[in-house]
Amino acid sequence: MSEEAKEVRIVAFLCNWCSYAGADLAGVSRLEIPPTVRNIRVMCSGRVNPLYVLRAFLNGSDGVLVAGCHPGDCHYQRGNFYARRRFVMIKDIFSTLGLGEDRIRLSWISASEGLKYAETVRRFTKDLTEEGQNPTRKELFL
Amino acid sequence: MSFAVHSPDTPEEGLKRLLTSLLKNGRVSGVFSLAKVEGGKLAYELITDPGKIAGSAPLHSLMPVNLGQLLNRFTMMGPSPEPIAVVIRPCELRAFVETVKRRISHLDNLFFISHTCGGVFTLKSSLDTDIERRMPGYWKKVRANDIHPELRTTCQSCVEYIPYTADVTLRVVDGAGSFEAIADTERGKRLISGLGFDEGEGALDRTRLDGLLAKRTTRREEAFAQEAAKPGLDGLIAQFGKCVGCHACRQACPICYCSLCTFESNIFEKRPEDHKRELEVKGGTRLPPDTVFFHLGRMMHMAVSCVACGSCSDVCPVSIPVALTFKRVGESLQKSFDYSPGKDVMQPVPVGTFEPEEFVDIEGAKSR
Repeated sequence: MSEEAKEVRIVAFLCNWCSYAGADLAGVSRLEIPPTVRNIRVMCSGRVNPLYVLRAFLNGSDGVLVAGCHPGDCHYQRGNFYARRRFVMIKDIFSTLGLGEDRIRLSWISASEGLKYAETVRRFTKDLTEEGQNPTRKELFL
Repeated sequence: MSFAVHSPDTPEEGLKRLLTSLLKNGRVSGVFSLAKVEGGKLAYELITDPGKIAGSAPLHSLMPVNLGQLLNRFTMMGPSPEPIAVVIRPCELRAFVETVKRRISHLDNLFFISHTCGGVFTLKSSLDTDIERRMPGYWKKVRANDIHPELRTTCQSCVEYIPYTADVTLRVVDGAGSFEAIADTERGKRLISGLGFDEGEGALDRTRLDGLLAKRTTRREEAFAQEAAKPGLDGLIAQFGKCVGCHACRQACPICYCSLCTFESNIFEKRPEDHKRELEVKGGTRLPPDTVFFHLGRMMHMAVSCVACGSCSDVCPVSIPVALTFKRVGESLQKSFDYSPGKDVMQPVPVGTFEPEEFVDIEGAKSR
């Protein structure tokens, strides 16, 4: 992995019931995961307040990942459906204002998909390396 | 064609006669309307005495506060116990309906008398000079289906000036200068019939309304063209960098409904170590903090329901064109969710509902 890629910072909000377990599986399976990601466990992707995504973005994260159960598999029946709508909204606002909507990403990762978790982080890291550092990291007026 | 009443008075005189007889006949116990208070200023007032209708100014082209917000306060703890007639602008009505959908307001016992709207002046233009002197010019422009240049930017570029959920609609922008009220609902018909007006059939003049629509659409494109299409982070800082953090835009917003705003709490307040980190990484810190965060955060909370009334821009002490940004973001969101704020009280707010099969391509790396 290049030095630039190691500089990337991703904040990931992972659902306790699936994506967090998926990340755990990736770890115990000894899959290679870039050291770019900071995982935050939440009880449901539907619990992720859009303001958290915005806050992480404005505080200088290069990327923000929200990961939850596949649609239809939510532990709480429908939390991820709400999460999906909220994410569409965040993405739409970012896109309208030109804030870099590619810096935020939504993924469905089940507890058995350790491989998908590792692949998602690798791919996101690669894309963000190409994007370069988030300008919010050095910006005062936010 | 729908049931309509008319009289040769001017729209405002006719409306005052209608409101007076509504009160006298006991069809309503009160009338919510703009009224002149002492010193010639305007305020919304709940009038219960028919004799006081003469001092009201129901169609005055000023919006001191968005009436949707006032009605939200009025019905927050429960529906109105008595029937009330409300003279309301289309965007105010749409804003109120949005709060009803969020179950923090009640529609019951309110009769909405709205009109095809010619727009309102900015509050600032009403402060420096006597607004009464502008009124003849305003009505002249309205009759000619023209746009008065001193109206709010959002009014000049408003394309939703026909009320959606009113009980009674007055023909103002498309009228012939006389009073004509069209009943849009059965209860609206029961409200205005048999009060001594000439009764018949009536409909809005779509040709004239479409003519105005064309003018306003052009003005809308001009307004949007003045800003960068995608301001980006730099553009947002340029715009909101001068924000003093007074949160007046939130206070004036008829959609901002939280009784305790996140941004008034200390949830996102920085801790000493955050300040330290910021000083280390960024080499400084800015006060007041979180201005861009506040505006983007507020956007995430309410832009999907934004009715573009323009109240936020109107109250900004440092003249940030908040309303235009919110209008543009709101229009984009509303298009994405196929949503029209305030159009139908049964249509749920997009972020409070979902379909199991939708937005399937939002997942993963591919950008939309």
